[in-house]
Amino acid sequence: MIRGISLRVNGVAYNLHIQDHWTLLDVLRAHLGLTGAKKGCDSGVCGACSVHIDGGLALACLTLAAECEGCEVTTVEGLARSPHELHPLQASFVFYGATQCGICTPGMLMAAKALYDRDPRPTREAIHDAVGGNICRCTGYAKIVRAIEHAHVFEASRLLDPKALMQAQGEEAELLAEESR
Amino acid sequence: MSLPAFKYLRPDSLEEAIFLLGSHPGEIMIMAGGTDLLVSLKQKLFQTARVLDVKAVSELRGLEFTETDGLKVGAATRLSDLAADKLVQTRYTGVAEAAQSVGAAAHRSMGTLGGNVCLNNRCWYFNQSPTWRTTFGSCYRLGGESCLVAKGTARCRAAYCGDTAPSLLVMGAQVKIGGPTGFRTVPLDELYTGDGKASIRLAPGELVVEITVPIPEVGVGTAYRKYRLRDSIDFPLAGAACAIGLDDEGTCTHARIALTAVGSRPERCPQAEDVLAGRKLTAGVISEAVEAARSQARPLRTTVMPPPYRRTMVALMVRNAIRAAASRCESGWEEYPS
Amino acid sequence: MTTAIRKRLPRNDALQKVTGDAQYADDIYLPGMLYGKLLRSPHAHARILDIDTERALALPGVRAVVCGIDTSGIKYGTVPDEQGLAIDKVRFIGDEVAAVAAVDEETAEEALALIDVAYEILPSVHDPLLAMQEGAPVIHEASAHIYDAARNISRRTHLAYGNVEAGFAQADYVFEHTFETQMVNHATIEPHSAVAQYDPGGKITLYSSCQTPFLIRSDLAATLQMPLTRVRVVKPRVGGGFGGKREMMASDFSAAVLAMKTGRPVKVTYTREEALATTRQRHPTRISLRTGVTRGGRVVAKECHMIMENGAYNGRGPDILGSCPNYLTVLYRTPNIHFDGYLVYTNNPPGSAFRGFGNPQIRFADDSQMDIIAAELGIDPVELRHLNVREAGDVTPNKAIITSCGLRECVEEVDRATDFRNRWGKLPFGQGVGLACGHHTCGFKSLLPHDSSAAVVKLNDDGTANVLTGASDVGQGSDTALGMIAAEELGIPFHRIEMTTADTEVTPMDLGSYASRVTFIAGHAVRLAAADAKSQLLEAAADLLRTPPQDLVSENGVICSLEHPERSALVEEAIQHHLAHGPGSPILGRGAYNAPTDRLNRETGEGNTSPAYSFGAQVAEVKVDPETGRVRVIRMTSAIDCGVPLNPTAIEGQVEGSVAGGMGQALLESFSQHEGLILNPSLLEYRVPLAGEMPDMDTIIVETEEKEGPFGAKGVGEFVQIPTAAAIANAVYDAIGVRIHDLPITPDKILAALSKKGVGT
Repeated sequence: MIRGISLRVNGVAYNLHIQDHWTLLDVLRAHLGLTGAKKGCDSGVCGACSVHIDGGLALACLTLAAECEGCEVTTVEGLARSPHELHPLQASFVFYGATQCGICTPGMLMAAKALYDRDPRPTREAIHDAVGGNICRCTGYAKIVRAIEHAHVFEASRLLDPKALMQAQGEEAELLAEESR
Repeated sequence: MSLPAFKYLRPDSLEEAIFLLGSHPGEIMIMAGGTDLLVSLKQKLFQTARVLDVKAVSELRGLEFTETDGLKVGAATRLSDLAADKLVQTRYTGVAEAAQSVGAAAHRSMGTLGGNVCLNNRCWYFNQSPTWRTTFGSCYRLGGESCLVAKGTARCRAAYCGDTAPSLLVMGAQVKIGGPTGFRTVPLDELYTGDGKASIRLAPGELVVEITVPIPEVGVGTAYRKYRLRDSIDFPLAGAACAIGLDDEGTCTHARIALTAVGSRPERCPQAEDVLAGRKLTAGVISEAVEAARSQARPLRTTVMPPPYRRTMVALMVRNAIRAAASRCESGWEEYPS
Repeated sequence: MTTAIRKRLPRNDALQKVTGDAQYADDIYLPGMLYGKLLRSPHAHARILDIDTERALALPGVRAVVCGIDTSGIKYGTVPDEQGLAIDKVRFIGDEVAAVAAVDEETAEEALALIDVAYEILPSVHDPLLAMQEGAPVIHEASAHIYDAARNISRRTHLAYGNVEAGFAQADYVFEHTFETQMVNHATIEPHSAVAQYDPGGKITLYSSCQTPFLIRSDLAATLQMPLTRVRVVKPRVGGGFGGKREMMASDFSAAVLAMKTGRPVKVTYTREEALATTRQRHPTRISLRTGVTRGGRVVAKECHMIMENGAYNGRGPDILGSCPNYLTVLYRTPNIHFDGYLVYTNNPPGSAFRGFGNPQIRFADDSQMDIIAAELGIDPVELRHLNVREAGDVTPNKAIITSCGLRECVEEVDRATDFRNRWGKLPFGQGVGLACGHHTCGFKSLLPHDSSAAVVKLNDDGTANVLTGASDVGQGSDTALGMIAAEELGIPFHRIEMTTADTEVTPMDLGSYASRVTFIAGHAVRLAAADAKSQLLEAAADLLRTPPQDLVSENGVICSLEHPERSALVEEAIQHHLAHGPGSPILGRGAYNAPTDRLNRETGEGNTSPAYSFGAQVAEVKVDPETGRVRVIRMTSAIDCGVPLNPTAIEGQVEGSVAGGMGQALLESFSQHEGLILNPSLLEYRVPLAGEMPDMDTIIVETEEKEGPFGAKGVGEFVQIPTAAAIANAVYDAIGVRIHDLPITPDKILAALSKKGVGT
């Protein structure tokens, strides 16, 4: 059955015509062109499709688009504060080498954000719990955990500027790493 | 894997929900968090013309505690809210532990207490895609002649794998059920049929509205222990909940034990409870109770890990849950050898 | 002071990956695109009698249905035995039978159910030992490629080096053990995906989630009977490979065939179940090792009998088996070796390449046995390794040439970092430490008579550079490593390098990501291309600065005279000078490299198939819960020799990921099967490690300088995963005195072994 829904995704309002049985994940990817959330298992196990719905962590593959009527959905594409200012978690992921193939990264970031919003200086255990539903096959998680642990260091840092971040050279890196310890 | 076409209904009042349920008997399924139902629908395990989303029903959401009636939890209350509630953590520790142990963070922020209590029974010959199921044909639950786990038997052995039910059972929880003819409240135990195929005893048009948990008896300690191979995502391979009350002399005045993941329903362990009642909880007494629970548990090959191993884990989880619950008793507890 | 190398530079694709901008195959949505799905065999072994597609074609929304008989039927593979879609027979549950293209996924799925296939079910065999017996069901018809079709033996590798008999005669002790390793899956979080586009001019463009676009182009062109120019394979971002995406998949083939048939773009993305159960697996093996050692602890002879279960098709199996003798000769000095291995077809999912290419299986057996030998001889494991480790300058009995080798130092370093010798055998019950070593290649000449790569470097007038290479970054970070090599050689900052990679039409040829070859071989090509560009750049700068080019250096974007340091110019000034005053053409550097190695001799196993070898040692520290039997790895220390470390962060990333993969195979990952049907084809029950399972991980870089490698570097993609299972198994033995000979080391096995010993609950 076709229905119209209104929702906001990453701050942008949409009026969409969807089928009742379409998942949010398919609507984001195929209809809104927001392919950041990935379809890794399509059954709610891998965490690659994690998004936020009204501020709560959700798996887009197990959410009906119809459920999102009136909701505010945030995907990884909406994580950066502006095109010139990354979210501290993003900067930290880049900086600490927390992304390899990158397929788990969007979901990992959204799961980490759910924690960061509550507690920007979390313990290891809290991090393991927060990303416990996000499978990464490349990194062995160490650099992901480290990036989440130290993300707060990037708050208000000039390295939130993507350009500055990509040009950060060795010395600055060392300095920041020191700071974060 | 696409979802089959269905009509999505989202009532915002209980009255409307019950009306909708009653209007389409046999052609409507209830969804709360969706973490279980939508996977099953993708796998075409069920056919339904309608999905009734109860998340917007305000009467089904929220926690309420009074010193007279105890804890009332709306069926559509998120597991993460339950687990994070300070009062639940202190007064209903085992329930909080169970809620916190479900799946991973996203499953808890989506999943609801009612959904977990009514979780569909699981089996690896059942929870598979349609393509997969063509090899051996349908299992008994899907219309085949025989169960593929216990071959030659016409009974479904799928296991209840929710974490919260045992923790609620040991608290003497009740379920408020709504339906076309009004409301009724039954002990949680009676919600389960023990039949893997139709595991929840709800009449057509009925839904679980609320779970009520009485005020814990004074000084009682509770705990839930879950065995799984990874610390997140996994369903339990064995789970045990326990509530223990001790008097000042250390004699057990109250003992409740319940298991999950090892049978077609969450089950109390009356023999094990009887072992504990009226005795001091020495290591020997606890072992006796553990043995009783072990011999009651009959896990089958519905998932990975051989059943004998899982029985051993049942025993271990029961022992750990007894110890943890006893140590949380107000009167304090220390294990003495027998 | 370097411009780029040895620095912890952020990956050049990191921003795209943290913002959701990075595009993977399944993220591609083309106008008019159809969705393709595959019909798979529900039977482990059956003859296809008839396929009726009429009902499926009649379903509204279905645009095409293709069966094997509609295709060329040309077999492909290392040793060809597989068709894009099966024609006569299916050989495992999941074998591809037909492909459907429809306007959406739902319709395509629905159509699959409407295809009627008549099968004649044949007896199937699921155990390699049974498959080798006379009278077993014959899975493949006899052909010149197959060693013994009647006994389902695809390949036998039977070799001896030195004098094995005399070797054993020298031995004071002979140890014999059998080990088993299980089937495991790459489980990349991106399932295989391909999008094909066909233009009326007769050209296929395939966006494929793959590791080897040029090899897939060859297989696709051959099976579609088209010239290479008519097949373009483009690798978008790839969400992990580990060997699982290094061959043409039915997704690639079917997407192409369906696009040709419909004239519309077609996407075929596998479900998680398909990716886990029907693609490729690490071969299960059974390895019997007989090892002769002297009283002093020197290995003098080794005999290895190996049964490698091939599954239904060869994949890269024959070369994997062919590489196994090498894994025994290279790591430890073993003068006399007898190897007899069988690659056996069964009606189970096909095996193929997976991080380590047969090496992890051999290493689990050999390094577990080394631990047993150490205990029996009363020599500690560190000492036993020191007595036998390979050294630089060695030539192995099968003529592999060891140019650089830091293995001895690696063993010393892990010993020192973990205080291994003082703790081994002395920790309380339930805690243990275990040591194992590993090595792997930096390339592999086997499939083709070359192991080569080429690159082009274009300098722009603002001082930036474009690098074109066919190398395929599948997540490991080769675009970053290669960009850093170019930056270093050119002397311009890394962020000014733009990489264009892995597009068979645009970039120079490269064989792809496998055999830990990319940094080494593509890196070499990139360095040569950058050097070519630099020499033109310095010519221009020489003219500009009026000093001979050999007097100039380029570093961090500045070209400077060594003799007259006051004479300097920015790189862009030199480029602009070249454009204005040079021969009138922009600066274009070209480089190509073919590893100076020998092609694998399948008869003798002799030859140096890799230009260099990387080495490492690992110590696992574990805690075993004697009540649950669950093993927790507490800390994993890896000392690695990968030559000169180009980017320490990226190297640690490879090490940590390898530890996770190795630990998964050691402790968690396995498939339960029922007559060839995988009972747990989901990430829920095929358990890969999660964040909470991971140990603390330390990486110690033992630097060697590999003369043949770019800036002295060697490969790091695979060798760290190779010792991990043995290190953990050895640590488990140290913890509880129980030796598990078959992977994975699951809690039930631990409890059973403990109770046999009289310990436990």
